[in-house]
Amino acid sequence: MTQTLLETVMLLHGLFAASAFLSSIITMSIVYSGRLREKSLSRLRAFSLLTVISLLAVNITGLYGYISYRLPNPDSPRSIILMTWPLAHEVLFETMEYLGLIGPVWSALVAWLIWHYKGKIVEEPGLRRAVLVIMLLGFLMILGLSYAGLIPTMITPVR
Amino acid sequence: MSMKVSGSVTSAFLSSSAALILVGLLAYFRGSLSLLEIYPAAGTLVGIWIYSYVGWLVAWFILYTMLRRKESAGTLGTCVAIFMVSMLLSILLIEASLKWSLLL
Repeated sequence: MTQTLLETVMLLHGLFAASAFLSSIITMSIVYSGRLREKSLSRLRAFSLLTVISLLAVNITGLYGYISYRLPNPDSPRSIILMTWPLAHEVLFETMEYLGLIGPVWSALVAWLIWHYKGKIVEEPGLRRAVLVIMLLGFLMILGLSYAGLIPTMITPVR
Repeated sequence: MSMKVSGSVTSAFLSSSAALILVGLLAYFRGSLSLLEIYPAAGTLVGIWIYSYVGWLVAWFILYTMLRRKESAGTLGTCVAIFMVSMLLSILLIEASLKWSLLL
C-alpha cells in the first residue's frame, strides 16, 4: 500500500491531535496531584511545552490538508460534504477551522505560567486552581473540536 | 484567586486575551476583509492565522516591556476572568459567523 504525501500529513494531523490530548491530560494530572516529586517539575514543563508544539503542528498539518479539502472541484471533500450534509462543513468543519486557532494561544499561556511560577504552580492553591480551570476548559474545547472535525472526515476523508 | 500577580504575568494574560478576541473578530468579518486572503488557495484561514498571531506576539512584547518592572499589576482572579471572557467572546463571534440556519 502506498501513501501519498497528503495522506501521510493527515495521519500526522491525527497523531499530533492525540499527542496534544495526552500531554494536556498529563500536565493537568501533575498540577492536580498537588505535589512535585524530584523530576516532576521538568516533566511538567516538558509536557506543557509538548502540548503547545502538538497544537501548533495540528494547525500546520491541518492547513496543508485544508488546501486540498477546499479545492473548487466537484470531487473535493468540501464539495462532496456540501452536497451530502452541508451542516457538517458550514458549522462543524468551520468551527474546527477557526476555533482551532485558539489552541496554541491557550496552551502557550498555560506553559508560560508553568515555566514562570515553577514549583509554586502546585504549591499555591489559588494559582493551581486557576491553571486547572484554564486547562480544563481548553481541554474540553480540544475535545469538542476533535469531534467537530471527525464528523466531516467520516463523510469523506481528505485524500 | 485574589493573589497579586506581577506585570509580566498580566502581560501574558492580556496579550493572550487580545489574541483570542482578534481571532474571533477576524473570523467574524472574514467575508468583508480582502486583506485576509494572503494565500487564496486556503481562503481567509492563513490571513486570520497570521494577523492574529502577529497581533498576539506584538501585544505581548509591548505589554511585557511596559509592565515587566511592576511587582503587582492586578490579581490572578481578574486576569483569569479577562481571559475567560475573551475566550467566550471569541467562541461567540466565530459561531455567530457560521450558517446555523442550516439546522432549521
